[in-house]
Order: sequence, then structure tokens, then C-alpha cells
Amino acid sequence: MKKQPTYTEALEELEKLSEEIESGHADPDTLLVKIKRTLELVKYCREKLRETEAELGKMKASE
Amino acid sequence: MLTQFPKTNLTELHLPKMTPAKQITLSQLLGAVEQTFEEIFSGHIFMVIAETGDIKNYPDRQYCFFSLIEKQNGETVAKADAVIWRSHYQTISKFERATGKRFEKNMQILLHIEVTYHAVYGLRLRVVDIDEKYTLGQIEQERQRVLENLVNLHPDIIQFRQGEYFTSNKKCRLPEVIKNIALITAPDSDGLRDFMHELETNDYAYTFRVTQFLTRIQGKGAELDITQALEQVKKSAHKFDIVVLVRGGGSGLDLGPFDTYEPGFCIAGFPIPVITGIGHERNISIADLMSHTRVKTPTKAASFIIEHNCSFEENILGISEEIMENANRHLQSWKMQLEKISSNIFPSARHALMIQDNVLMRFEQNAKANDPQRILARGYSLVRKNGILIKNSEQIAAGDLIQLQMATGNAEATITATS
Repeated sequence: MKKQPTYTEALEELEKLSEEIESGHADPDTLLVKIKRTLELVKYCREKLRETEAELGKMKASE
Repeated sequence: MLTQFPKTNLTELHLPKMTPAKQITLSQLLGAVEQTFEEIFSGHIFMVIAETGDIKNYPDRQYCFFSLIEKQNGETVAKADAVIWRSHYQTISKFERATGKRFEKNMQILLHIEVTYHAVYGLRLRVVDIDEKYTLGQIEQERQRVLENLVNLHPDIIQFRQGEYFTSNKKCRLPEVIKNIALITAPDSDGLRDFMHELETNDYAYTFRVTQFLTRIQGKGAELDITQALEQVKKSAHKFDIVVLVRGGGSGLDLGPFDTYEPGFCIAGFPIPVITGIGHERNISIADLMSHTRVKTPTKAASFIIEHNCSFEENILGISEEIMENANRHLQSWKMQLEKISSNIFPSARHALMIQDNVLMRFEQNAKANDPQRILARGYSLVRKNGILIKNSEQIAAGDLIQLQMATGNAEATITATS
């Protein structure tokens, strides 16, 4: 099973994908793959952020 | 009345008129001698310097017989019996108090004397006073001579500057806490009892290890005993923090040994601090001058040690209080810092999450903006031949079968012509 990237690794990959998408060199098929991967990573990162937010809420409540 | 020896001529004497040829009794002869003495010496007091010989003292009966001697080059050149009767008996204690010396054999003293003669007891010098000033002068001279010798013979360990004696012993550092004490004093003496009592009953419950070096510390030749005791301590000086040399009793008698060369020299160069408590009433002894610290009595010597330890304890308590105060101050400041951090942590974290949300949103928007589907939705189509995207007309020729991909749905077409 592929190891889940850390948040920072995910951000670095997003940065790279964004540059590739914006450069206009990718053909539509590759572009689609990159967009799909981008959206996946964004979703993954958002989940991470929501988890963190929930943890913070719990910590504050138990303070 | 003090007088000079009267110039008397035999011819002036009123001897009974008799001739050697005439027979007389002994009492008649001695009676005449007695009368003559009476006539010449009666009422005259002479100041005589002489050395004491054997002494027979009867304190109970309050009189004292002794002999007086004058020597020249070791030869006795004059000798006479002397007596102190009850009426002048207190002159002995007066002399002893003032000089700190015991009235004893072989002392050179200045006496105030009446000359008496008795037919039975013979010539007797009746002492009416012993001049303490003369003896004090002698003692002081001897003391100065000893001090000069100490300074001149041992300039490396004893110096005299601006009226004060500086010795190596004075430079020894007292340890912060005094624990191991070498005590030199007389056995079964007030000094021993007073010192030990004061040390053992201190208010702070300090305990000490006292090793006693008991020896004779007064009387003729006691300086050698004191020096020997000091030398004995010196052999194991590393086991002790200080040496205490005390003498109790309060009497000013027999302090001579502490004014002598040997103990003075030994104390001056002693490797650990020497505390003297000799109880001198008259003067500061040479032992006192050479020692690290001098106090008046054995009790005060013990107090000095207790106070020394007490001041160390107070110092330590002061430092520990200071440490506690500093620690508390730091603790308070750390607490405040923590509170500040903890009150900021949640808002900061939320802010950080928000920034990340925005970053992610930008990536998402960028991806969506470049989605080819959006271009197709505007009416564009993708052209492929055998699955390969056609980007210019040279890739195809008339008759080729091509596939079209639109925003919704696909189609196939045949090329009729290219240009």
C-alpha cells in the first residue's frame, strides 16, 4: 500500500502540479491526470486541516 | 623611711667598755652586738637587689623565711637570712599579682629591708616590701629581648611593622567551618573545663571533635612542655582545623612560659591557625602576639569558634534564601510567558489553518481553470486519429478516419481534403 504523503509533501506536489498545469505544455490527457491528482491532493489536505481543527477544538475544551 | 647605707665608723660605735681580756658571757657579747645594730640600723630601710635562695613559706601562719644571695661570676659573694613577717606578708601576693610571677627561688628582686639582729637568731633582714616595679621592668626587658630575637632570627615568618607583629600563622586561613580542634592546656584545669563546657553547650547544637594534648603550662620550664605539645600536634596537623592553647583560672600568675622564645617561635610558624586564650591580665603575651587569633579566656576561645561557625551558617542560610527568591522570580516569569503562549496558541493555530485553506483553494481554482472540459464546453472539439491527438493538418490526409470528442458525446468522420 502506497504510503500517505505528509501535509508538507502533499503541498510540495501541489506546487509542482500547479506549475506544470499553468505552463500549458501538457496535452489534454496528461492535463486531466494532473488536474485529477491536484483535486485529490487538495481534498486530502483539506481533510488533514479539518482533522487538525477538530483536535484543536478538543484541546481547547479540555483546557 | 628609705635611706642610704650610713657611713659608720667603728670608733663612732658606743661599744660597752670592755677589753678582750675581760671574761663576759655570750649574751653580754651578743647583747652588745644587738644594741650596736639597733643603734646603727634602727629606723633605716634599705633598698637591696639580691637573688632569692631557699624559701620556707608558711601561708597558714603568714610568714616566710628565705635566704638572699649575691653572686658574681657564679661565686657567692654575700648571703643572708631574710624574713617576711605577718605584718608585711601581703607583700608576697601583691608582688605576684602585679608581676604574674610566683615568689620563688632564684629570682633577682629588689627588696625594701630593715636590718635586725637578735642574740639567738642572729642577723636577719626583715623584708617590708618586694618592689614589683623593678621585676616588671626586668620582665619587660626580657620580653623585648625575646621579641627582638624572634623578629631578627626569623624574618621569613615574623615581621614587625607599624607597631604590629605579622606572622605566618596569622596568614593561615581559618576553614569555613571549624570541626577538628587540637586543644593544648593543663590536665584537670579550669581552662580545660571552661573551654569544653562552652563548646559542648552551645546554643546551635554544633558538635566538635576535640583532641586534647594535656601538659604542664605553668611553672618553671613549662615553655618546653608547651612547645613539645605544639610539636606533637604539628606531626598530625592535617587532621586538625585549628589549635587552641588555653590557660584558665583567672589568676595572673605564672604566665612566664607564654612570654618565652620557644613557644612563640613555634606558634608564629605553625601550619594551622593557633587560637590563644591565656587569660593575661597584665599584658599581651608573646604567644598571643604570634598566634592567629587571641582571646582573653578559654570560654572566649570556645565562643570565638562557635561564632565563626555560626556566621558561616548564617551566610549559607542567606544564600539559600536568595536562591529561593530568584527561583520564585524565574518561575513567575515563566508562568507569565506560558500563559501568554497558551492564550495565543488557539487563535494562531486557526489563523494558520485558514492560510492553508486559502492556499489549497488557489490550487483547486487553478486546476479547474485549466480543465479542457471547460474549453470543449465553449464549442471546441478534440480531434484524434487512431487515438493520437491531431494538432495540425499534416498529421492527416484525405480518406483518413478521425474521432471527434466534444463537450458531450463523440463522433467519427472521414477527411475529404486537407489544406
